Amino acid sequence: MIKDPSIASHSFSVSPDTYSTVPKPDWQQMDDTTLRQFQKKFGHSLHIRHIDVGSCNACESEVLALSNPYYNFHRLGFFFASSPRHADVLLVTGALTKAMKDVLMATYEAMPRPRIVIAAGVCPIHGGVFRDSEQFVGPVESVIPVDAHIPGCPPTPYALIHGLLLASGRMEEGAERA
Amino acid sequence: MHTVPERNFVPAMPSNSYHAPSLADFSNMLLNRCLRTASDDDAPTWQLLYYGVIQETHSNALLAVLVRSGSEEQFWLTADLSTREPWPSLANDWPALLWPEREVWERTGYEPLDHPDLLPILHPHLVDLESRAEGAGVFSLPLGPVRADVSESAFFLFDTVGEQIMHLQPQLFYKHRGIEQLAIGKTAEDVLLLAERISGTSTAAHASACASALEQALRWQPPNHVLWERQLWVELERLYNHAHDLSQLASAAGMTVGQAQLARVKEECLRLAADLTGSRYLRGAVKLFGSSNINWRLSLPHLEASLSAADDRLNHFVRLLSRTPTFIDRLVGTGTVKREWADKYSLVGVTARACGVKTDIRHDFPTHYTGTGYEICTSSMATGDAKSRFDVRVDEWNVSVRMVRSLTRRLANTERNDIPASRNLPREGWGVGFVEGARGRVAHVVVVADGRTKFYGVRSASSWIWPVFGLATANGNIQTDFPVIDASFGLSCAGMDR
Ligand code: SF4
Repeated sequence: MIKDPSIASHSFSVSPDTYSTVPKPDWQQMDDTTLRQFQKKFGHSLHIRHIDVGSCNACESEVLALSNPYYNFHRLGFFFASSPRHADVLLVTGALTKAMKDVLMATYEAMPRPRIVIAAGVCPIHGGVFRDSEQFVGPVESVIPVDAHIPGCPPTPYALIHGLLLASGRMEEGAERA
Repeated sequence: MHTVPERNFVPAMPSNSYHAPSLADFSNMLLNRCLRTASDDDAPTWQLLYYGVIQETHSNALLAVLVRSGSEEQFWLTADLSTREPWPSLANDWPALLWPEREVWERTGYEPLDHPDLLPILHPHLVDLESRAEGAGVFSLPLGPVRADVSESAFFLFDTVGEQIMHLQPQLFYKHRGIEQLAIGKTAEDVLLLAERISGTSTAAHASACASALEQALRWQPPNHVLWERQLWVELERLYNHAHDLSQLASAAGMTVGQAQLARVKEECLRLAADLTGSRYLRGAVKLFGSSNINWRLSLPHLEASLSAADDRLNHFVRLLSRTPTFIDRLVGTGTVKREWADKYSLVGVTARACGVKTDIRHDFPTHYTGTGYEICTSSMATGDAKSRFDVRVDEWNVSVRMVRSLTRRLANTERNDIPASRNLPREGWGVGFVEGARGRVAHVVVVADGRTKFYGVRSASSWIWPVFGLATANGNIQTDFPVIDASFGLSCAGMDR
């Protein structure tokens, strides 16, 4: 049960307004108080559901590398969740294709609130080389609200960890531990 | 300005092209040339590299591109699809065409007659798969498209009785990005950029197949050192992919230490790639009309040292895994590909070699690999199960390590004199490029007209193997075998979906 209904509203924007050309859907932005609540609740451990909406597989390879002994992101309290129902973070990779649009929305809907969405790689942020394809729906931001953008093609595991810490508001701690 | 010397020209037209007067003729010629007989361990003399639709001036045509093993001889077979004559399906005799024919049908609306399984393939979200098994106690179990921890999007429909898998239908193309269409009208450099992003973990294989197709079309014959360098990237890619697949296999069988250590090997290979090229996934490593300007003599010591460390670690942990009965037990007899399927479906890559079929581009076209330490790795047991695929991957790792060493030494000892491509390259031509990537044969076909790409066709190794995946999974396995089978095939959805 969520006591404070405001927590059920979505999204804060970690990203700069670089992508402001993209028409935002009418989502209520998450205010500072809610953000603080989110970080209080999830500041120490995040469960991540990854979804591939049309990637070339290099991004998946990098996301998977997070759990290898070199990066071992479990030490920072990050874990992969096998179902969106157990996840706090949705990590999106790939250029959103027509076939994956509904799947993405359904996955997002299935997540408990509060939740945050991270777009990793050029593809979900902008479309990259696939932008002109007729199979390409648009930036992920045009379908669901995105809280953090991690550019790169593919983003390296360090960039991914940086993005995760940023999104969960733990940057300072990350700097201490690095 | 530099000009291309005479010897750097190859013929503009494919050495052999034939426009079949009717679709029936087309089918006959294709069957006569390509079918492999079960008694023969070698790959068929003619290999089908591409089968699909090509947009001709006024209409669609069916295009098949073949190449004869051991020679430069290519054969381009076309037939009009607009004459409303019947198009007999070949999929009954040659199931390798099951999926390609569905794709042609969906793109053109031209229906193959008597196709055994005509379902749309390019729009998975618009099709509801139906259970194929009937009877008491049959349960259908959908899996995907979002599945497992971190994996590519694909949908699987299992029909099960109890634990037993009776039938499995894979549904792909969730990640169809329309890359072939996207390439139309683009310059050679832009097409290469796209090719690198077809399947990220086969970047080098796709890029070098694309580069050699474009270079053939624009009549530029790459000098040896360019070929060696491209091969080096492809081998490096094979190393990290095989390490990855072995690690995933260990993970599927619950061997956490093996998984972690082999994932470490993969990371070391990726870092080596980044040290050499600046990209962990070898993006931009393959250059059109030339090679990189890496100083190989300087890079040699670092490369040797990192390679030895990775090689020792992999072999150590593979040895430990092979001595672990609980691991081997999970692999033996799991996901078996029957030998006859390997022939009928014209399988390629590790999956085919695990059935004992000697097919490998490096074996069939031994042009610039001689003396690099290459030898074909087929499984000695040739059982076609997960264990055979595991063995083939381990052997190939060792072969690739040898090849990387000898190729870098060669590069370090060669004076490079790149002949820059001239500004007045021909503006049109046809080209085919094929490479043995980590998963198998990757083939690219291009037609260039007016300096721009007019047609672009891609067939990755996975596209020939996916249709067998369902059969192998249902071949006497239970639900809990699925992760092992999935990992042992190591297929790419991105390469299939394009
Ligand atoms: S961002 Fe780059 S690496 Fe990631 S899926 Fe897109 S093309 Fe592939």
